[in-house]
Amino acid sequence: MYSLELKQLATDKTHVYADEPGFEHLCSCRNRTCADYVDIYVKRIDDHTVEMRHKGEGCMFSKASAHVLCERVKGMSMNDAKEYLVQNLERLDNGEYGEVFAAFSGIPLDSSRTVCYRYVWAGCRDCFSE
Amino acid sequence: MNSDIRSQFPLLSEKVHDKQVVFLDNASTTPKPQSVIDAVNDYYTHYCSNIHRSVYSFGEKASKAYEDSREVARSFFSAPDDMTVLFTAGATDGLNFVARGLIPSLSEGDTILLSPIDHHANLVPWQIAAEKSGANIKYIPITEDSTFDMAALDDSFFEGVKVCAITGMSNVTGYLPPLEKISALCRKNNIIFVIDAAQLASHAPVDLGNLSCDFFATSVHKMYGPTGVGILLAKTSLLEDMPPRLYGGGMIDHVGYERSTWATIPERFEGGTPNIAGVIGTKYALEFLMSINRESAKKHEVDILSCLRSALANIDGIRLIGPDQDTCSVCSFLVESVHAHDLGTLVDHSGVAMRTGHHCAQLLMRHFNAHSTSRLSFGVYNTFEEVDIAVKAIRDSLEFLR
Ligand SMILES: Cc1ncc(COP(=O)(O)O)c(C=O)c1O
Repeated sequence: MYSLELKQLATDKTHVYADEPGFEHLCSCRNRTCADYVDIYVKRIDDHTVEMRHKGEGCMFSKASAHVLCERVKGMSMNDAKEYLVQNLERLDNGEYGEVFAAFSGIPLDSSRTVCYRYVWAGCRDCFSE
Repeated sequence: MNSDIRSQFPLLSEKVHDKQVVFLDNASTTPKPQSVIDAVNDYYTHYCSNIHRSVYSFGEKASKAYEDSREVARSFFSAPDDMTVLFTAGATDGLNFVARGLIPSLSEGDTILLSPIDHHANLVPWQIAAEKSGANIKYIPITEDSTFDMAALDDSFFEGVKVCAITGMSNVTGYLPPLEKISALCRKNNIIFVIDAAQLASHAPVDLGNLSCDFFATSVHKMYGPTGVGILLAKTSLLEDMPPRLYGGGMIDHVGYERSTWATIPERFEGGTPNIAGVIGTKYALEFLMSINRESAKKHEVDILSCLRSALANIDGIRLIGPDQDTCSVCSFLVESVHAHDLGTLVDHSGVAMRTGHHCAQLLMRHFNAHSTSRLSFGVYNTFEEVDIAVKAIRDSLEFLR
C-alpha cells in the first residue's frame, strides 16, 4: 500500500496553503470515519484558469490525494476542474485507478483506507456541484 | 499468561500477511474462546427456535439456555436482589435506553454530570436527554493527563446533580476513575449513578454488592462473548418508572383495541426476538472469565501495559497519552508528524492488529490536542513476546514513515 512515490506525493509541499494572498476558501472536505479534514483554497488567475491549495490534518493518503488534486487541476477553468473531478471519481468507482490515482493502486478499492484518499476529491466535487 | 488460555482462542492462531496475528485491539472487541463459538453453533445447529413462547422441546431448551445466561450474569457481577439483569444489544444500546428512560425524571435546571474522558456512547445520549428535558450538562474537571481532578469532587460540586454517568474505564487511556468515591458522593446526594462498564467489565472483577450504582452497562463482545449483546444491570425500582424500550411482541401483558398493558420486568424491556444465540453464548463467555483468576489476569494486563509503555517511551517522537497510574490494559500514543492510520496500516503488515483513530472519544482527543491516536489494548491472553513484536513493528514502520 505504501510506496516511496506515495510518500513523496504526501510530503510534497508545493500546493500546501500558506496564507498566500488571492486565495479564497473553497470547501472543507471531511473524512467522517476518522475526523481528518482537508481545506481547499482556490485562486482564480483569470476567467479561465485556477490554482488550488490544500491544508489540513490527515494521513499520507489524504495528503497525497490533496496534492494530486491541486497538481492536476492547475490551469484548468473552474468548469473543467469540476468535470475532471466527476470523471475521474467515476472511473475510480468503476475500479480504474488510471494515471491520476496510480499512486493509490496498492490500496484495494474495497479497503477501508480507500476513503482516506477518495474523500478529498469527493468533497471537492460535491462543493463544485452545489 | 498460561498457554491453556491462549489455546482456547482459535483466532489467536490465525495468520495475517503470512505472520502470526498479534491481536492488540481488545478494547474494540475481543476474540472468542472455542466454548462460546461452540455454544452459538450448537444453538443454530441443534435447537434453533424462538424463546419464551414455544411449547415444543427446542423452544423450551432455548428459553432455558437464555434464562441461564441471565442467572450467570447476575452472579458474575454479584448483582444485589434489587437489581434486574436486562439483555440489550450492547453498551450503546443500554446507555441510550437509560438516558431516554430517565428523561421523564429530569426537569429544567437539573444537572447531568458527565466526564470528558467518556466514549460517545455515554455522552451523546445524555446530550439528547438534556436537550429534551431542559437539564444542564456539567463535566467533571480533569487534570492534564486526563485523570479526574479529585480536589474538585466534593459535595458542593455534586449540588443540583440528578444523574451522574461516567465510564468505569477509559477506552483511550485505560484510566480507572475512582468509582467508589463517586458512588459514595452519589449515594449521599441522592444522585442516580450510571456506569458505562463497556471496558471495565472485562478487565477488572466487579462486585455490584459493594460498588453501589443504579445502572451498569456492558458489551459482551468486549468480554470474550458474542457481538450484539449487552448486559444492563438496573435498579428495579427505577426501571418501574421507565417506559419500555421497544413496543411489540414479548413485552406485553394484554393488548386491547385502543390500549395495551405491559409485562412484568424483565420481559417489559426485552420486546421482540432478541439475539438468542448471542445471549446463550454470553453464559460461556462469563464462565470463561470465571474460570480464570481475575485478579492475577488484571495484574498480568497491568504488567504488560507497563512493559509496553516503557518500550514506547524509548522511541523518538512518541508521546504517550494519559496517566501511567490507575490504568489497565490500554495504551494510546501519538507520534510526531506521523498519522496514526499510516502507522496502523503498516504494523498490520507485521501481523499486529492496532487500533487508530479518535476511538469515539472526541472530547478527550480535544483535551490532548490530538486528532487521532494509535492504541494498543490487551486481553487476558496477550504476552510479553507480543509486546516485543508490536514495538519492533512500530519502530520499523516509523523508519519508513519519517
Ligand atoms: C467505554 C466504552 N463505552 C461504550 C462503548 C460502546 O460499546 P458498543 O459499541 O459495544 O455498544 C465502547 C466501545 O468501544 C467503549 O469503549
